[in-house]
Amino acid sequence: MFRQMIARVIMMLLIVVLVVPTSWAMAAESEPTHVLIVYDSLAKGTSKEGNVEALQRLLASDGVRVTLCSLETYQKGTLQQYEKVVGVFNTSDLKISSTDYLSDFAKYDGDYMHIGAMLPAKVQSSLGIRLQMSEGETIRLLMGQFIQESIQVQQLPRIIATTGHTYGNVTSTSMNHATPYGVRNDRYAYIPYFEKGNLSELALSYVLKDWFAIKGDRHQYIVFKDVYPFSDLKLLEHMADRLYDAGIPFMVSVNPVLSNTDYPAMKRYLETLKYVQSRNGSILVNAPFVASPFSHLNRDLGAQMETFIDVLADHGLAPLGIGAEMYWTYDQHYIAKGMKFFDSVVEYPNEKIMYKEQTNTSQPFESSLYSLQPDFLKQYLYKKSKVIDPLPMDTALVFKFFADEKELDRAVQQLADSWVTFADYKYEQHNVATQKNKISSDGGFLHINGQVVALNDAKKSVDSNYTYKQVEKKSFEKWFHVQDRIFIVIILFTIVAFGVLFISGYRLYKRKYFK
Amino acid sequence: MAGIRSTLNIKNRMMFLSRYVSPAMLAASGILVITIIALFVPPYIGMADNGDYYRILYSNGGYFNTPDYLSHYFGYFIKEYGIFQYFNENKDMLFSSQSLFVKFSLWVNKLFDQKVFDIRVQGAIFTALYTVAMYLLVESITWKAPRKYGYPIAIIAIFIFGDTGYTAYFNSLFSESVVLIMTVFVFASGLLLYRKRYNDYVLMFIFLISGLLLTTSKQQNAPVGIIIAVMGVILVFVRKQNTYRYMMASSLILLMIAGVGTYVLIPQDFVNINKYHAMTRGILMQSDDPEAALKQFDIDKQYAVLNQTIYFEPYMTVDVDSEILKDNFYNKYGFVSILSYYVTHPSQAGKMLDIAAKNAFTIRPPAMGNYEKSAGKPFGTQTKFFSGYSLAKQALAPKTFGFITIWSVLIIGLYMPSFIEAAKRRQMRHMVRLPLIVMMIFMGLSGILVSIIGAGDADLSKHEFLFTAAFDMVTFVAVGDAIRHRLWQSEEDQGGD
Repeated sequence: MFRQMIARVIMMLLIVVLVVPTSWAMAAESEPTHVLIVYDSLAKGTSKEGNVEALQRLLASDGVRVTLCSLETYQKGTLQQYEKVVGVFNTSDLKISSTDYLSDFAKYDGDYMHIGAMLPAKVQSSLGIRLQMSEGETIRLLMGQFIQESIQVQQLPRIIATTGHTYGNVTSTSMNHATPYGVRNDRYAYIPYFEKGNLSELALSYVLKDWFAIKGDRHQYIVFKDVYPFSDLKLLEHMADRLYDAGIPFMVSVNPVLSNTDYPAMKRYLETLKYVQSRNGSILVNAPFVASPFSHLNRDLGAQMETFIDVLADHGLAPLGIGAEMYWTYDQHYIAKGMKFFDSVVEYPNEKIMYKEQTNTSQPFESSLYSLQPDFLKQYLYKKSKVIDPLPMDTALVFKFFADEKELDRAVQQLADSWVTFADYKYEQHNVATQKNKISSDGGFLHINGQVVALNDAKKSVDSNYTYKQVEKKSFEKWFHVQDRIFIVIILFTIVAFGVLFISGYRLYKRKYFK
Repeated sequence: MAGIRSTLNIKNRMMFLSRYVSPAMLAASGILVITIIALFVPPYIGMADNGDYYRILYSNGGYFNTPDYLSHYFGYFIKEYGIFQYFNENKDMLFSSQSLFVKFSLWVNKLFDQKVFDIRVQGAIFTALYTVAMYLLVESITWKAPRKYGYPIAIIAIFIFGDTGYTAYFNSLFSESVVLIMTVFVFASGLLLYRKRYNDYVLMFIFLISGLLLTTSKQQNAPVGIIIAVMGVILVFVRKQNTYRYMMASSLILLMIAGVGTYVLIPQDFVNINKYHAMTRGILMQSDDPEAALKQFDIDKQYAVLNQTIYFEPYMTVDVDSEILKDNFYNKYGFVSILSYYVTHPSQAGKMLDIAAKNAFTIRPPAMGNYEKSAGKPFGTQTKFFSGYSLAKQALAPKTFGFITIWSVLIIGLYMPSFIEAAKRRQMRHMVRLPLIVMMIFMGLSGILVSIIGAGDADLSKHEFLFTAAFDMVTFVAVGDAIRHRLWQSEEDQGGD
């Protein structure tokens, strides 16, 4: 009896030791870090315009959930709800007017990153920072293997002394020694300068990686977007061949077809995509173009996307993620309807924002690629460097699909000549699920409903014969045909009879009155 | 005894009414009162934006100041807009006579409020113009007519033209309000010339200005200028004086130039949506083999997947303004090539005309709501206030192109005898009425044809506004003439010069 009890206790302990921590760990893994961005201004009309959006995209690539909050709308107690907060201060001439924010910040004991002006005293003292303001200068920014000369800045706080860990460096004509681009310790980080579209965008990602303590390898991918059913499909196949021959894996973000998916034109599109998939190309579903979010036409985005994914899957194509402008991840409707099938995303910069149900909190994804213009890295690569080390985040070099062979040749040659190692998207784990299909990738294999997808490059020719319009079934067709003929005969007879009567009547009339 | 007394009383009142209130005055004031109640008494009636407001508003110095403006699209009417306080970079986005009215409304608005543009200011200006236009139209029929005919005609005018299906446009930034008012002015001034009511030179001036404003109000109306110019040739011979003839001939030439100019000057990107629909909702939609149809235009057959898609879909495969469509789709066809396609495929053209006829009797587009959000009505609710005519017309009119053809032939047939009679007598002024009626019918038909060729079946009920308006005016005039027994006969009360 006693032995049995001991055995039960040991069993229970074993279960607790083995099972519970695993489930805790899983729970911890499944819940992404939630970061608050607090900003004073979006700096519209200045060189800093767009830096908050760039930060949002960078954070998304780190797999975190982001909530955006302006100081104007800040509500008491908000800071305390977050473990990590990033403050973006684009104006240096305005004092923070939100007393709620100031009092909350004084009590805040989580991690904090400060970007821009108005560095809080407690962050400054913790990082042991001494600042010197420089105005109207041209600076040179160096980070890792990258360098950008001649950046015009209006106002820049330079870190002339710090006890924290430093990142990159900044030099200028007025100061003969280099000062750090950014600084960090266990809790705090400070970035004096951050703008969208120049090297500072990439530089910040180095600091963010350490601030989030992100470990593991990061990859670079190639994505081709603006691929439509009516793109030059021959050129698409040719591109796939060229990249395959050069040993460069790539992704194609295909624009979804939301109607007429049974047309021969659609079949040709699918056949081409299948060929692309067989040539080491991974397929992404691009978000559809939002023409009018508040259309009077009641369309179910979820059903439309699901149908398209199923059409792809039924044809042996395995879409592995979605390519969308960033604002999609800040819109409840697009998240719930358009993105719910995917756990992987390539986030493009916003081009035309068309919110339907805007929210200030983003949807994080298991895999989120930060998109860069193809020449971004090349532009800032330090001359001595040849091989580009992995960047701090998963990135996608995004090309617009080419207009002609010339463009294709030039781009493929550049990619083949570059020293960047591009990764194969399907080697990572990606999952797409509709009610009908479960699609996944891992270790270089594609699966649809548990079956490995055979990458067959034999393209089927598509027959153009197709019944676009169903012939309407007509009832009593023969009867109406006969009836038509009878009426025609009656009418003709009536006309002739009327004519005869008219002529004879006229003759009688003439005889009577014109004698 | 009491019965006789009350009859006498009514007669006395009628006498009093007829002395001070002419039928034209009755019609104009009736329409004015109804329109004021509809547009300026809460809940205010107007038209929800369908996405078209942006260009006309921004190019004239206004902007959307409602925070969640997009969510009002199609559903709710918005009466207040912001006025740019600084440099407007959106100038010259749009060439349209409508801009003149928006600019004038903004100027008047600024006398009271510098920052917020209340669309009701424009509504008030349009209402005033419409009242004058309706006065002239009714006067052209009822002048010198016995009052027992005049008043029923006036009441019919109120019933048809006081309908909020028409007047709700005044509280909107759609160009239909300009189209409506100017069409009435063109028709009324022509008929008044025919009746020799008022000074011919003044009427010629109204005819010219309203014709110009009508033609230049939207690209779709480019043929209108040409139609007016051609059908109006007879107006040159109404008087014998050279001054009059030169002036009238110059006016018609100006209208012709305006027609051509309107077609040329409309910005290209404005055309993309319509061009997209012309193919996807026209040629491809009615074709048994869209790929073969595309081949005729030298377009890649893969574009067949766009068959029947519309720009107003919330989600689309491609942006209508994208480079790929500009380079490989829109560049391959135009108005002329689509027209020639329909000419060589008459069965397809016939089907399109029948589809067009289905929407040709709708005055108020079904897509747009009439109330402000604050009125508490559901999204997209349309008013029923004084809408008897538009609702009845939509429900009862036989919606086939065959009916439109029969109606046109019937109307022309009814006015033909008086025209032949006048021609025999060489009374040029008496000959004017039929060409004017034909001009209106052609203007209406051009509205239908241009809609199909220019934008397929998309948004037909709005594109065919000119037809529905012309149909009502011609039918009204025909009914009026029938009531006063002047269908087959010319007027006897006017000279030739």
